[in-house]
Amino acid sequence: MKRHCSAQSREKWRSVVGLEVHAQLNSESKLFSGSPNRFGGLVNNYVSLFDAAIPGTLPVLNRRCVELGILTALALSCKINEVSMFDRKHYFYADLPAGYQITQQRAPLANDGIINFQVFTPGIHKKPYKRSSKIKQIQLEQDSGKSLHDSELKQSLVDLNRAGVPLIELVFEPDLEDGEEAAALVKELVLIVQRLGVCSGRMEEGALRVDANVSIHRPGEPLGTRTEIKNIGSVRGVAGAIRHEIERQHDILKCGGCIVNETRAWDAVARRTVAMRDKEQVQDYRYMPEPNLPPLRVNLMTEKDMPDVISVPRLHGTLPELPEQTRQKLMQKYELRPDSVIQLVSEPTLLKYFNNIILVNYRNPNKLVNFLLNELVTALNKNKIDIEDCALKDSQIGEIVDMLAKKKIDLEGAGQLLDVLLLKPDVELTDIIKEQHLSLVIDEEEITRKCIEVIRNNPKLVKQYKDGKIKVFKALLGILAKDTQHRLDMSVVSKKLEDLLKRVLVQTLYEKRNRLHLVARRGEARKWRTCAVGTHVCRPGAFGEAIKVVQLYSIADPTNPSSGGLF
Amino acid sequence: MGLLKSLGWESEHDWRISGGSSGGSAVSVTVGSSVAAIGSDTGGSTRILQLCVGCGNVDDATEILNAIAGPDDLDSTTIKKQFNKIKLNEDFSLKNVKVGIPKEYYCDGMSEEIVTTWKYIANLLESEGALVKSVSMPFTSMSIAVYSILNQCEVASNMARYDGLEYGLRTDENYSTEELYASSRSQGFNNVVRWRIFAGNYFLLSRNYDKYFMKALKLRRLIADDFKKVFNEDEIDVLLTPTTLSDAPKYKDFVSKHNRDQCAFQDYCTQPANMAGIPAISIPICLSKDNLPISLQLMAPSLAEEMLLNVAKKIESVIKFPRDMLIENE
Repeated sequence: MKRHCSAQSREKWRSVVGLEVHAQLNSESKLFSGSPNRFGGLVNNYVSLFDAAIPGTLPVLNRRCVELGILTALALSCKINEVSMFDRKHYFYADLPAGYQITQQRAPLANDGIINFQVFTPGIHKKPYKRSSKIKQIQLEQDSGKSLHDSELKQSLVDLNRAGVPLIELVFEPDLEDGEEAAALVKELVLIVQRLGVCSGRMEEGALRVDANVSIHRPGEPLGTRTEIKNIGSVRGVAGAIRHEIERQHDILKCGGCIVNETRAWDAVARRTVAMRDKEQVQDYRYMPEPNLPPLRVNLMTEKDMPDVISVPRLHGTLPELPEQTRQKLMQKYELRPDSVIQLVSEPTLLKYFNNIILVNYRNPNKLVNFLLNELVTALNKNKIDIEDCALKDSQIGEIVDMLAKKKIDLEGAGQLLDVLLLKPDVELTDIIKEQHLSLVIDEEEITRKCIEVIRNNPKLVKQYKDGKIKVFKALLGILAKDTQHRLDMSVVSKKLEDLLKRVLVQTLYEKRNRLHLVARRGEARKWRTCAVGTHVCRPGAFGEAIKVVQLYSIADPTNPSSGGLF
Repeated sequence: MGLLKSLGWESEHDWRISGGSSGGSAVSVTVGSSVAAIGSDTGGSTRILQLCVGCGNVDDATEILNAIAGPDDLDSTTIKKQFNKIKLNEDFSLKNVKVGIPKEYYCDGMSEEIVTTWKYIANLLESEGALVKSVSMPFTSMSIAVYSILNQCEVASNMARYDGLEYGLRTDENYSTEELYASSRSQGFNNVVRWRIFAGNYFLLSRNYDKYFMKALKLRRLIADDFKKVFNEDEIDVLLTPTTLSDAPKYKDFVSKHNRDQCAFQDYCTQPANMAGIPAISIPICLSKDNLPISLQLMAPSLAEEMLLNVAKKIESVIKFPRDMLIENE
């Protein structure tokens, strides 16, 4: 039975979230051996003697890995330690051939950094807000191999391709409040490491892995017991897992229970966390200095690079522009809205389009952004194409945007254009427009004609509009658009329709002796010679006989008195 | 590891131990099955067995050292400076070479023969023009304890890879991975190794780390500082000490003591050099009354191998230890 906590009782609890992120580094070979650092190869093909812990092998530190670690630490404003050391962390597991992992527990590569990011999930947050999380330390360490358990055959299979792959571990302070903030942090971190070229950031491949520590407590009281959630495979998974765990802990505490300090796994299918059997006992890792590796020294002072001592200032000079800097620049230069900028920067493909297209033809930045975020993304989703795989050229998108600006086509037409282009990227735009009649009609006469047609055909709606139901206007527009297969420039149409509707007179007439006389009127009075029959209503009144009351409408054109007609 | 029997000396039950863990290497050279062999000497195992087996001379040692010394890209602990081959000087003079005699190396249980040999060589060196001086190295006796802790911790760590999965003994246990590990390791390791692993893991527990491991590291620093002081302040070029406290022990005497005590007993003189990370060499001098070789040890500062080997060669050439005896007895 799921208990629902009232919003009131939920407010009494504060949740605390701290993240630990492991990112695989993009070096050619592994951290301490020369075997290839590659994803998805044939099992046990990227394993050197050292990776398999064959006796008599020694570790040799990969310089590129240190550089990538330093770059990450610099991008996150960390203090790089001039001397850092390696340790052995001991535990027995089939995918850890040496019986220990080489890591940097005592003296890591860097300490005390910070990550700044914006929190904005469309649909959950009304507008973006700024947040930051402090980084306790960044350390280099080995990844373990992979083991697969076949419970049917009672077999465990071990693949050592991943054993020894270089990782950086980023340990964050527990200064986040909920799953959305954590997801936003992870998203920003992925963008940063991708920009730096340090890591692919592909969570689905295991290149970036997030563990979350979650606890709740009442304000003013000390922190509650925390649980650790592992096995989160996506950014949205981070939000979902943490949100679920906070609820789960709240439900337990509300009933007077206690939280157990344990490790739980996120089950993305069932959308809940489950206790992990293996990790119930507290492990003593028996840390010991790694005797086969000397301390790692870096040069913090000069730009002189030596074979064994990396210059940190020189690396600092190679840092590219970071996502937050890009956002600020876009907002300042193009006066774009924060939430647009956030969404744009979070999709590198779209950002690239924007940066290339905006330079030509004085295109309007806001319209371009909206086109990319709305029309293009919608079309890609509809056709089940990943944003990164969009095959459209800058010139094609630019042309569409120009045509929209010149009102040669409308948004609906643009959508259709995109649908065709995504499937057949080599077709000429003008050809598609011709074939599918996407050109916009802007001829005023035709527009007027169509508007009048709609008004004639929908007397009920027009009456409602005139009675004050403004919402009906949209319905009328919709009918108009549909009838004309979206070929009209709706902005012009909208104005025209509004104008015409203003001049519609609602008159109620009655029929007496085959002649219709005006009963009630607005605006100018007219005497009508012909009529069309509408609904019948009995009106007791001055004339004493049942009369047909006919509701009629007319469009009065002040310049042409006889242009009106009954319909 | 294990015990190596000596050849052709005594009766079946009275054979002698040929030395520590690297015994296999040296014996293979003695019996002629290999030209040269390398053993890892963490506590004196190679030097001690050299004493017991009595093979090789300084020229051989220099040649091998020249062959293997120098920077190795695949070994991160090697010094990355160019290594200049050591040349042994035929006319090397001991004149004005400062020889230190650390008084703490004279300890309880040291046999008379050893002490006599020690004094004899000290006098010999003086007669050749060396300046022989008594020095003090107060932390010498700490060395065994320090070594025990550090060695056992490293053993516990280095042996963790023997799970039988990638190589080595794997038993048929199939109840669970943990049971498989426990079974393979229990059967694959003898009791000395298992004992060291247990002890090492105990010292490495987070609640014990500072008390034992960190303390041992600090004491190791003090032992190393003893040597630094002697080499820098007292300006000693080489130290002269015995290698062991007695000649090669009989098997029955060896197993009557616990392994730890055996090590404590026999490694007393050789251990400190390992703790300080300095070069040391053991030279056979003469035969004991039981006709077993007695050796002395020379120690020099870090990277002073050339001085060390030249002094060793000089002593060797003066002493003329009877090597031919060994070959006859096979």
